[in-house]
Amino acid sequence: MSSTSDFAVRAAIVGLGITETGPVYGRSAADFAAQAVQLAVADAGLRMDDVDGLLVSSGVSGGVHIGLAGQLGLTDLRMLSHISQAGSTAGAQVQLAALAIAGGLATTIVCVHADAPLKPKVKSGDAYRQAAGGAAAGFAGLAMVAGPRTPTAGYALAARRHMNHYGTTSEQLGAIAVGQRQWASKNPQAFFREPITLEDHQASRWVVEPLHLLDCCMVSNGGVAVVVTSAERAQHLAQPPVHLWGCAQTHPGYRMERGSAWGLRSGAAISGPAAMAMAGITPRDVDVCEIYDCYTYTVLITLEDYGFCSKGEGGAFAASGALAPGGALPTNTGGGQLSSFYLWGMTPLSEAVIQVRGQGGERQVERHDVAVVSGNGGVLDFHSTLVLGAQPRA
Amino acid sequence: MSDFTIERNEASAPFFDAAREGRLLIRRCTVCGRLYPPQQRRCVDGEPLEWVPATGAATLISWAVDHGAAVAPDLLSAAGDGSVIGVVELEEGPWMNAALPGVDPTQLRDGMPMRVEFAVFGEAVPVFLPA
Ligand SMILES: [Zn+2]
Repeated sequence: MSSTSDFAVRAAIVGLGITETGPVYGRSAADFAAQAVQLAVADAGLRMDDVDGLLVSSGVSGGVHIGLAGQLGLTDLRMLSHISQAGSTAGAQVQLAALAIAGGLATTIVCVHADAPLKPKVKSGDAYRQAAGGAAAGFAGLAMVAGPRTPTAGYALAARRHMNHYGTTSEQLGAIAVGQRQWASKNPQAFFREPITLEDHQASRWVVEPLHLLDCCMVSNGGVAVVVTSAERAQHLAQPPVHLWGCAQTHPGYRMERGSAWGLRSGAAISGPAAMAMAGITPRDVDVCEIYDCYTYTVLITLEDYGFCSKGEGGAFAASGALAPGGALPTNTGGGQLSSFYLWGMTPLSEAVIQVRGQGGERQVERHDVAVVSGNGGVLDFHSTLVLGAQPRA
Repeated sequence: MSDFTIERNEASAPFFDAAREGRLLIRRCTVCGRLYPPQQRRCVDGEPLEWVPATGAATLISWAVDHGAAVAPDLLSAAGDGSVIGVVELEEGPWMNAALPGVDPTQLRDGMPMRVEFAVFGEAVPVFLPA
């Protein structure tokens, strides 16, 4: 008799496609998406004719939609949707694909995300900044004055609250940036590969204090796709299967009033334990973490919420070197969004697939049987978690 | 520098009328009495909200210094490099995002008492300063 959460253990990620990423110009987001899908299908040892489901995700630049199916020449799809959950989308795509496969709706579903916000001679930060000046109506005008006007400003307020409450320091956040750059230096795809020091972090300019430039992710062009199919079929394809052991989402909907945990605890506190319970594991069983890292602080609060350290101890945990190469909990082993590339939840998911397969090259972690992947969107508003395993779940 | 202005609309008119007179209004559920910040449209139970006065006393929950282009010169910090924004907890319980214009961010402390002031950008808007 199957349990209600049995669907997850039947699915596996069997293909991964990553395009060129970074300041790559002359291609639209749809172009990147199409290429990522083709790469992922080929990586799996499948043909485009085998694909019967497509779940697309569009970034800040827009331009990726269900028309991608036609552009790719896919025919008679049994599932076709645009999933839009900001940074939690990739986890949601895989979760939905697993449900659909378990339910017999489709057999071979490609999940893709692509974005092309970078243009020649435009500052990358402007992709996410509202224009100043002009006029605004009603409470939108009040919000322009009151802020936060950018995601960075929202995360800066959240990070300051964590600092106020738990004594977290900028240097502790810096340890996350430094450790991830160490990982990136071993990743040929990473955009930033030059090692940095804590002094570099502290000397980097404020974007929105208490967040330095080196606390912030980059903005990238590119596309990533994964192919999801049944665990049984996964055994007979080209790549080592990456089995889905558990998945969950939590969208906390903070009440901004006295007693709110905003900035101190996120949706990860529910999503993470739920996904690990489905997988039948605890944090002690996890070999490698790929954590959504739009900001260093996001990594810190997510690891706390997932239970990899006590609440409030994330700063000391990061400063201990646990997350960096050689540490007890290898985290963001490709360099993450801070150092490698920024394609929302596909950044951590793609690196998890690489690590669980054992294809990380110089950055491959020694033990890679179980990986935890997080997705996060808004200002800690939308959260997804995946637990991936190298073997079918026991 | 920009000359940013706010244009009122129907939903915000009572709020900006009161702000022009130096009074901060917040929202209260007509059924259960729960309080909300000014931009809230409905109670979580779905009931309509009404305007009620707040004292303007608050405590500081968090703050940040945005070094991007300021919305208006009046919003710059004491040192003039960046605009200080914050989250305050009104005495009545709701939180508000607010500009903290002209303050020295190094003097800000978790939980410090704050008081409302009003700054005019076409309409008067609440800003908060150390009490
Ligand atoms: Zn009510």
